[in-house]
Amino acid sequence: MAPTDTILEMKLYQLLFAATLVVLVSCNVEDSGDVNQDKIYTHYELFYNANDDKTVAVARFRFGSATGTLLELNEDASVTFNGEALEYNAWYLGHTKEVAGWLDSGTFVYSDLDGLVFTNTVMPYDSIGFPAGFDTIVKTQANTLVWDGIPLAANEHVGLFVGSWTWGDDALYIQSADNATDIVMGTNQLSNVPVGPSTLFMDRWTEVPVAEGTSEGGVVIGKYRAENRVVAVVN
Amino acid sequence: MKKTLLVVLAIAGLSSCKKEISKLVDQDKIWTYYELFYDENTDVTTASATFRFSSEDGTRLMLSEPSTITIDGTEMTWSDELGYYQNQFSGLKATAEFHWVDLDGNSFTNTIEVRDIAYPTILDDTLLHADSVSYFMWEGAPLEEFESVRLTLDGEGTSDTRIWSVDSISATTITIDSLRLTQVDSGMVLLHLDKLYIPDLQEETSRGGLLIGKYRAMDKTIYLD
Repeated sequence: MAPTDTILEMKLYQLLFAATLVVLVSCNVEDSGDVNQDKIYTHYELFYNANDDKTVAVARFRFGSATGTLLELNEDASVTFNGEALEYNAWYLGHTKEVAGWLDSGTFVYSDLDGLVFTNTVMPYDSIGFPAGFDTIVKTQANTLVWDGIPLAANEHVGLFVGSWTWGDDALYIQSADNATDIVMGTNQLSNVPVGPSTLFMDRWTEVPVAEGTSEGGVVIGKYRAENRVVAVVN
Repeated sequence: MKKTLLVVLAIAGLSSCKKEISKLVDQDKIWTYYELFYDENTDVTTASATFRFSSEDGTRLMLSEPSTITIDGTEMTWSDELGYYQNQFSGLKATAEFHWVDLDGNSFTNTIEVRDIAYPTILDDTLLHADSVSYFMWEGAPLEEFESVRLTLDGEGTSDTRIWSVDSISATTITIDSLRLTQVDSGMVLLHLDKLYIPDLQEETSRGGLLIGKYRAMDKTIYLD
């Protein structure tokens, strides 16, 4: 990797780190015993990051809704993944366990303080990658990225983030159409991205409602992050 | 990334409109916000009380019976639209006492006052200059503990709002930097002048909250060159 690329990646990660810190600092966590158990919203996720070659199983609990106050499970409640207890991890804002390699499915079991048990399984989710030779974005025209991977099925999405080294000069694209095989980067957002090296982040995820949940519901997600790609942005 | 954050904030903003009822949470984890706001432009004093789970970013809560919130002995009115309790009074209501009784029978009494402020009797309508530092001296007493003064400039452009404030004890002046003024289009601009008094809560849960008295002087329009 060229020195400029390294600097770019460092700055980008510093920005992401700073943004994450902001989120962490702004998130108060309460004990799940402080709220009505039927008002707990649940988020179960398997997140594989090809850049680290590891999968994180995350179970998040919130009061009232997807963006409600974060909850750490009371000591008398529990959540397991494939039979192993998950401990609270402030970095992930949830109860987690890390696993080496790509784990594409698994089952979460959450037991609340009322003695109710909720079982939810992450079904196998697909991989994605940048195509070989994709190394340039022309910002004065729309660019089509055809990913390495099968077409999108129902409940699947692909997100592409074009990061730069300047705050705010980025672009974000989401593709959710069934059978889609590509994502089109329009010129409107690209106009923010400066000419020069840029790092692309790409995620593919499947998201479905919980099979078993409280009255507030929740989601079950399987997410695959491709290896990042550094490209040249040109006029 | 800024756009992404804006989307996240917008979602957070939307979610903050979601409301629950207070009996669903531990009463000691309720965060409270009391405000008494007098606006000379309308000659109305607005009292509001907001309850949230855990913190100022938490889910809004409507009090479950028999929990009550009163202002000077009168029960406050819940607004579904706003997501908090609000009562209005004609004219200046200089002080008020908020009294909240939670579901555990605990009482919390907090008293607040609004402290007035005014523009100088003769206001130079060419007060602000984008090419140099400007100073604004208000009419009224120097700042005391827990007080601050805020000057808000509203220009004609959609992003032409700038705020300057001071909270130093004994301060009598706001310093207005030229950098932010240069970001605003020249022309007529609207000024809002607020004095805030934010003492500590006198009685609170473990999650605390805020107690605010705010006075807004009659708005002024001046020329920004």
